[in-house]
Amino acid sequence: MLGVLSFILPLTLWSAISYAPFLWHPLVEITDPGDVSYFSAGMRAPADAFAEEVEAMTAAGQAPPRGVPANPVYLPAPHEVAIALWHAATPAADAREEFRLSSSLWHSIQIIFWAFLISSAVGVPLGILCGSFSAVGRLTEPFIEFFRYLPAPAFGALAVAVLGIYDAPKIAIVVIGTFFQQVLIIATTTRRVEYALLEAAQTLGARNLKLVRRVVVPAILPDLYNDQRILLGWAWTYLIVAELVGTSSGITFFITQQARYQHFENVYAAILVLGIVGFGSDLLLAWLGRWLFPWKRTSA
Amino acid sequence: MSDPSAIEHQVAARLDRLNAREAILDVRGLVKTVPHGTSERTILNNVHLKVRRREFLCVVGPSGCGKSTLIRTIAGLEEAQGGDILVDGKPVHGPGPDRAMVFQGYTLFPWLTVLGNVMFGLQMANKPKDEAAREARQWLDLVGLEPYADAYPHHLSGGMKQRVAIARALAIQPRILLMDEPFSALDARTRARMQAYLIDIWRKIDVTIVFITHDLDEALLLADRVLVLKTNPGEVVELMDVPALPGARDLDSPALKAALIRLEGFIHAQEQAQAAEDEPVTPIVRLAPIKDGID
Ligand SMILES: Nc1ncnc2c1ncn2[C@@H]1O[C@H](COP(=O)(O)OP(=O)(O)OP(=O)(O)O)[C@@H](O)[C@H]1O
Ligand SMILES: [Mg+2]
Repeated sequence: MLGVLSFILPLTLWSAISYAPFLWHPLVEITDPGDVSYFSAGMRAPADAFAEEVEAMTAAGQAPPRGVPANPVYLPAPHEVAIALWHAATPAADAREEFRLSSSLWHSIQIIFWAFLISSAVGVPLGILCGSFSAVGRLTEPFIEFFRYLPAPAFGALAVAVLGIYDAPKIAIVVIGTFFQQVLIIATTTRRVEYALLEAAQTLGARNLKLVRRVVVPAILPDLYNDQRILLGWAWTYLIVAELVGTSSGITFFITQQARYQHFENVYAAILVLGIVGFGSDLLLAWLGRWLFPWKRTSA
Repeated sequence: MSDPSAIEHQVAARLDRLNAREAILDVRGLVKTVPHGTSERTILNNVHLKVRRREFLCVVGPSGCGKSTLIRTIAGLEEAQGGDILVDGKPVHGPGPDRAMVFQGYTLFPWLTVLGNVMFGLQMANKPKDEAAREARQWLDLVGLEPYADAYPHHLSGGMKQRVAIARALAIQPRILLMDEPFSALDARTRARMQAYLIDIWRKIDVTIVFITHDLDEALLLADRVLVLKTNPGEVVELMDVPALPGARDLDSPALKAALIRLEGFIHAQEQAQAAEDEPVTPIVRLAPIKDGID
């Protein structure tokens, strides 16, 4: 219940600021410019400048401007964002491909998918080996630890030079951002395996790779799954930077374009969609995890 | 039960038979040390021990005397710094299928069903799956848990978990079953039932048991012989024959009462020596005068 409330509170605040004219509303949206030469309908003027003009025009016997209190363009009201979301969900047939929220998002999701797949294909096994065999850990982890501190976006120019300007460098950036953390986190998780289980397995004849495959992997699987969930969240944050590399694309391109045209309701809609997709997929994965690993009564 | 001297004779005859058998486990001059700061600390010092085939040996001793270390070294989970451990005449290097272990904590694999747990060791030995499953069911039947074959460990009670652990250990058909306080986490009633189960199983199959306990009653109920260890460093104090036949034993019988008093004597003497060594005697300070009218 408190969970729902934690969403309702900020939404209420946003609605209050948007719809209650006495809250904030530092601007006036002009409905009729009157005789003020530099006003035009639809423009937003600071409230004190507007009041001055009203006074001046009335004193001069000319038509005073009229307007309603408004917030800045960068704070659209909830219903405007909702409409933008609705349009995004039901795009007009004639809209250009890259201007559609849905197709931008789909492009972003593909980048994340491939990047996460590539990173995991190497990072998960390597992390498990690092955690299981101290020799592997000592051989690889110091370098990985160092590399982890190199910010992934710093490799942008390099990635473009090597991989071209389309999707490949973007995938590379997300992989660089995810992979090194992934190895370290999974190695740590692997080291947390209950030692008693490993010993029990050894007395039953499990050795080396068999021990890893038949005991370590199943033992850490629920925790590994949760790690992957968290890592996927991090991959999303690298996505935005990655999409600015080379030819800007995906949801980031959509956001920058819409901001340039001052369609801030679309910007908010896009950011919200990012949140909904991220949070929603996380909830889905958490639910799936409980179903997949019934023996693990997770605290999360 | 009727004639104490008749039982005495039977017990003596049984121990003679045991002693005539080959030693299945032969521990010779075992030394176990651990690094302690810059120097080393000796946990087990020159432990000699012979366990005969199908013997039930209990190991007792004050807390921290090295009982677990001894059994874990026999299991091959820890390395010895000196001496030899021979099983069937062959020296032990690391864990092996000739020794299986049941731990104090519950060490069932939570991701496997009860059947899967019992099959684990068989599959590690590369038995085909259906054969492993068939054998595992027989072992589950032996501990009376066949109906729970498809349940997961977290659905079982503590006693049932330990029964599965016993079945899992026995399934690899070890020569020696090592048990480190396997029932100490169970409530008294369950523990009594488990003790009866264990004796029953032990009499049905060809296995030698080394069983650690801190409960002297338990040792006297189960064992043919009781090994008493002392602390700091862990050394053998006594290897005592239990004056009773296997099976339902009466702890109130004079022979076992006397045995208990002897065992308590060994342990108690050490504990006093230990306490004298460990803690400086603190004078008791009375905070209130005795005659303050409270009593
Ligand atoms: N790896 C180790 N490093 C340092 N000290 C150890 C190690 N293993 C055991 N010890 C010490 O050796 C002593 C014996 O430990 P052990 O667990 O064998 O005793 P125990 O007789 O099983 O005790 P308890 O009755 O409490 O189970 C203890 O004092 C313990 O602190
Ligand atoms: Mg112990």
